[in-house]
Amino acid sequence: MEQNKNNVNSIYKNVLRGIFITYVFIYISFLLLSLFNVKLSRSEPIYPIFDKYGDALRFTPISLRFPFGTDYFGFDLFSQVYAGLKTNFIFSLITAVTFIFFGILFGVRIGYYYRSRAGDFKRFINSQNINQTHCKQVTYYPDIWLKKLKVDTFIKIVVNIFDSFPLLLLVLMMTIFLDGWIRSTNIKLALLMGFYGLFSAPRLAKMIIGKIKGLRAEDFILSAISLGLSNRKIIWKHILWYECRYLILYQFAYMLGQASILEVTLTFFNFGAQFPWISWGFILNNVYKAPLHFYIVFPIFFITMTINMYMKTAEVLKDIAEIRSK
Amino acid sequence: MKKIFEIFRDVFSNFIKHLFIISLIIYSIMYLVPGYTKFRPALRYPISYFDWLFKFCTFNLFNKDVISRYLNTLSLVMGSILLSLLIILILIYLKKSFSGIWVKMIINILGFSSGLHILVLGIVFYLLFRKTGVTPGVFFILAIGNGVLIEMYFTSKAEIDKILSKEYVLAGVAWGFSPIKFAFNEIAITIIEQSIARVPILFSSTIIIEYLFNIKGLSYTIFTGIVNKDYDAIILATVLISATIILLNILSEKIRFYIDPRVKYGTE
Repeated sequence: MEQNKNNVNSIYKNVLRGIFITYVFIYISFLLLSLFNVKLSRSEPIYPIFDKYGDALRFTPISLRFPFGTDYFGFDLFSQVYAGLKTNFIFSLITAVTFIFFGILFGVRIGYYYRSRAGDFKRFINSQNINQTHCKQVTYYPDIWLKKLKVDTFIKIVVNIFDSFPLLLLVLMMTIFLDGWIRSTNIKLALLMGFYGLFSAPRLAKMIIGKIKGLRAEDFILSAISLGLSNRKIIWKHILWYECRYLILYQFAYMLGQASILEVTLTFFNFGAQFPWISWGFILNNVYKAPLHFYIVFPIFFITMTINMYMKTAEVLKDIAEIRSK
Repeated sequence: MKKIFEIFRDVFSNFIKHLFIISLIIYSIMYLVPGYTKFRPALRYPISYFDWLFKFCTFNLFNKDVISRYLNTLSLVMGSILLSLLIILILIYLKKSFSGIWVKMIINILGFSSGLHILVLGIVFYLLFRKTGVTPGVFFILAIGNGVLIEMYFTSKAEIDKILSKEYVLAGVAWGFSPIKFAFNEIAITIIEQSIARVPILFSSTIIIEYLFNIKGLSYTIFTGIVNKDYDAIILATVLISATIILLNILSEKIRFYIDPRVKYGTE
């Protein structure tokens, strides 16, 4: 009985894994084709299709011409899903890159440079009576004025505030802020996605600061300094590449998933991508206004599988990061 | 009495500190919007900001409409948290008591449903029940759609298993006492922390639910404010939501210290 249960479980897991890997291949191939503007269907995603009497071709059966059929308003679902893939990926990438850039910047700036790093080195040099002429010039940040300014407390408060604030509402507020300054809606969306990455960056910064603190407790950084390594080499090679790369990769994949659903949500509320860029949010908006039909399975399947793909990738990378940290 | 006064003073001072910073940020963002001519020029900004803050703290900005919308949104969030907690406790009890495969299947179905985002889930529910005019399971959608329920389940289960395997609990069980009696404080702290940590994401998801099901709430106010350029409503609704989250975070900390005073002395 137990063996049967285990067999059923393993078959179930293998089937899911197979579906996931198949979808990853389909997604990557469609993405590459759409990025190089390869047309896979005859119909344009931005124009509805009309019959000879001028009526929209609603809910046409699935065929080679319309692999996913048409929706209530006559749009070809396959060409819209295909075009939306490119939009979704590009805007998600903007968020994820901004997130990684600012997360690393804040994390390294706070974790490495603040906290008397040079003070440690000076104490080490004095205790060892080393000839200081051979030591490299070290940047020195005086502890006293940094402590007086209570920089650490201020940063903690700011990070706690952004952690506890609903980010979607903040992003929606930024739309009204950008409305007055920028006319183009697509540039506005790109900036909004960038802001989302920026506001989420403290999360990655906290993790990198934690890693650096852990390394400092092992005298890792002090020994690297005493060997004469430059700050750049220590940060880029030893901290970020050797210690933090899986952490950064899994946060990148996680942020891609978050950003893709944010883009769909913003477009659903008409704050996102506008014509000629097609988004999955536009498809969902049409689905929301139309009667229920089983064709909604196709866009919903793609949206769900894309987000789950990113989240699953993030989970796998997180497991690798945890194993390596042990 | 003195202790209650100290707790109240702590909560109030922390709350005012965070509220001041968050309202300053939100007010500054809105002030910089071109076309918001009410508080120009720049010299009038500090006067208008403190005037607004004073009115907010003395409840002069609230009317019946605002209060009812606030209660609608708060009830959505609290309802979904309570529903999640109920389902989680039932699932944990069933998993421990019964070894059947059906419990695992329920958890897998919930996990699969949480992979559908709240927007997708909400649209499907809306289309299914549109003709009936009823909106069942709004709390359920809010709990499932963000992965809140399934995340809370896995983290709570892991924490509860860790607590129940501690030596003092096992000793109590060996003496014939119920394990819940010994572990109740720690389990309560875990559950409260897990619930409060999910509140920001639930607040940000209420905008989707209120839009789809046409519920008059604070998040819907922000959405209509953006469309109609009603800046005052946006500032008030945003600060109300953030104030609620800040207050809940501070209260959860205080409740944690009240339930388990060892935590406070450990940090000191």
